[in-house]
Amino acid sequence: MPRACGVQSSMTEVVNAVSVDRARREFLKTCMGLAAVAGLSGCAPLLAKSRLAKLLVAEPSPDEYRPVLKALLETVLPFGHPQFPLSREAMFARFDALFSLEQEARLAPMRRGLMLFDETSLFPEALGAVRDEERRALQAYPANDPEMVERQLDQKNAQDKKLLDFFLKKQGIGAVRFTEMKPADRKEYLWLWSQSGFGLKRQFYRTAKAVIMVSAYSQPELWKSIGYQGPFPDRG
Amino acid sequence: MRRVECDILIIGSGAAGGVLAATLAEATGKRIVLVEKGGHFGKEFFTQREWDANALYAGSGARATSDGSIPVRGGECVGGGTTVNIALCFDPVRDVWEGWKKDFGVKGFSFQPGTDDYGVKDLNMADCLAQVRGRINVHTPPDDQVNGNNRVLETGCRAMGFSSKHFELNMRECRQCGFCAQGCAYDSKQGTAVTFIPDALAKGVTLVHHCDIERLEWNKTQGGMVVKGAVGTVRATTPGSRPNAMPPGPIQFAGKLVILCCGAVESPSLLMRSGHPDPFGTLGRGLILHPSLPIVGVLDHEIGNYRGISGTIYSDHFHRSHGFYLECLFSHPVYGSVLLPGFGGEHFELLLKYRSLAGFGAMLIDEVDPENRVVWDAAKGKASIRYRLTEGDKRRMRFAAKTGVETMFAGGAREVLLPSEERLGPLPYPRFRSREEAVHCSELLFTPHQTTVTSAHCQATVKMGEDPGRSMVNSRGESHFMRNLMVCDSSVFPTSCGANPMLSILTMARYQGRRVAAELARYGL
Repeated sequence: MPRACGVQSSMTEVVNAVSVDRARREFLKTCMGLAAVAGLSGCAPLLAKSRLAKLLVAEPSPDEYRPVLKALLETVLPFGHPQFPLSREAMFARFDALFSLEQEARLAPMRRGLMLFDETSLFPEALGAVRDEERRALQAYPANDPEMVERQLDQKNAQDKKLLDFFLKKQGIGAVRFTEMKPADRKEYLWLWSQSGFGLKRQFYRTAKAVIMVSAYSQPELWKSIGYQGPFPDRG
Repeated sequence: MRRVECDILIIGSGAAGGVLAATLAEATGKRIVLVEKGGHFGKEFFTQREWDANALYAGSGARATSDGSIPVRGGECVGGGTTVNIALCFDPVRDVWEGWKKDFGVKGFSFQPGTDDYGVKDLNMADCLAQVRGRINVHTPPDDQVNGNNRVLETGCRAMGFSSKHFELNMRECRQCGFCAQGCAYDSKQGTAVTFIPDALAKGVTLVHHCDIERLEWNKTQGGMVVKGAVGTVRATTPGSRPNAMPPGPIQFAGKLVILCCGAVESPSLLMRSGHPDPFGTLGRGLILHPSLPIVGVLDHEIGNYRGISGTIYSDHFHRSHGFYLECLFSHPVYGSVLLPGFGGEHFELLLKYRSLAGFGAMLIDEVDPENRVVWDAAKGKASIRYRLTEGDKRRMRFAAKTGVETMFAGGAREVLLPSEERLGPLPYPRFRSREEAVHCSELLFTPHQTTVTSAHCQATVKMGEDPGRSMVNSRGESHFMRNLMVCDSSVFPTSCGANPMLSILTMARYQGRRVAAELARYGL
């Protein structure tokens, strides 16, 4: 094809950079809500004091949050499936290329969000920022009076506690961390987040799934295995 | 600051702006400037890769309601929505317009051909519609261009006893690649960027793209407020865009008549941040989104789905009785993988059946709720879109979901899914194994971030009517509160226009363009 391939590919990069930035921002927003640490103090009695203190004050290092990210990717994508064409390494590299967590200071909340997701025992806790976001949503419509709103928030926390208790009992495990769980338990724990009473936690599930799917299904290797031929030959 | 003087300043180059620019240029010989926020991309830019196409959409494809739960898709490039839509054409719904005349005192817009509204020869909706239909080549494609996915909906409707129809589309010699929504790489889709806008440019209209309009400028006179132009910034041109008429930097436009055509999110936002009066608190309120629920079927054989014309079949069987349409469309893998419920092996197994999947949407004509609105968020520097389904709309959406699931089974699906992780009775999420299970749709709550409804047709935030207490602009599209300022886009519809809005917007823009051309003195032109 007599086309300006060089121009085309650099253009694609520019456009990619713009839209990935958007997806990242959306994910960042949900993590930021989770990680607004002010709401953490005075809760999470299940969590060892030293670990809680660390979550509150310390900036997690790559050694700490990368395993969480890795476990999340391994849960969302079926690397063990015989027809899944991408290796873990290739997929991590692709994800890093699109959503490089390391480099930017402003992605700090995302890193911390992952650490909070890792702590099973925090799931049912009344995290301030999560409740604030939900309160805003409930208050947006004048029909809800403040007392009713607070009651609804408490119900949602109770609902999340029930979800977690049921999960732990069913899987026969204690409140271990996501990264320490067996693959089957990880799947159930991630699913829990889609069932939460709080919008921000469901959004964490949704956006985490979305950014991982985007980085996977924008790759021609995956197109091939699902029988998608992509652009017309004259645009390939 | 660079200063550009003109007679008529049109802000927004989508369905409305392009038609207005061409119509006014052809009829008046006035100096016209057409401003666009996005880039000016041509067929050479369209790569048929869905991830690249985000450059053509508002918010780089990430625009959503303020809680992030409902995507609000919209074109943000020269041609606007007509560059990225899938070419579905519905004539303006006459009953709806007659209703606006009755309920909102809207005048003019006669549907009788040959009528002379405002005393202007042949100024009426019928004639304007015929003119735009001709220019964008609205026609029904032959039946052999209906792909497998569309046949599923057609078969399903027939089996259920629902009427099904062929869409009219604005295309010319379609190659049936299936990438309408990524921008047509062959100039087959006849959006305004390849029809009315080239017409306008040929008549001397100046097009300034990559231009953020910060606010309108106006004078306070004894006779009230009078608009005098707008200020903004021209950004550097994105690689791949056509060259710009103006260099990057701050810019001031002076115009005697200013027409906003920015769509139902950006037009009210611009008015709000410009300090446009809103004495009755109606600006931005009553937002219509046409929320749509995707319905996915799994067949036991491969069909043509992502290739071919995306939408050729629809059903308006429930339009009158329940206010929704079933409309065919299909997703490429990135969007599809995000929409399909779940993750892991089970999710991948569905993707492995990609070529055996069928899809259509149930699109709701939503009701006006003043709490659903667009608000300018000055701190964030962007519009905040606040929307949730009313209880009445949820009820209708549940029925639409059940009907859609049943229709998908009747069309040959072995399983049907909704883009949702809501538990429905015995189902851990909406994955229906039999038609009987569709009954569980009655338990859908449409919980945000759990069930995905999508939207692409924002309307009704700068309502038109003759009562300034209930509307922002009059039937001419003129602001009740600021002289020489018009709004002409989907935001002036008082309620939903009753169908996919492109042709309603184009027709109205043609109508207003011809009216302005005949009433220039009204604006000191």
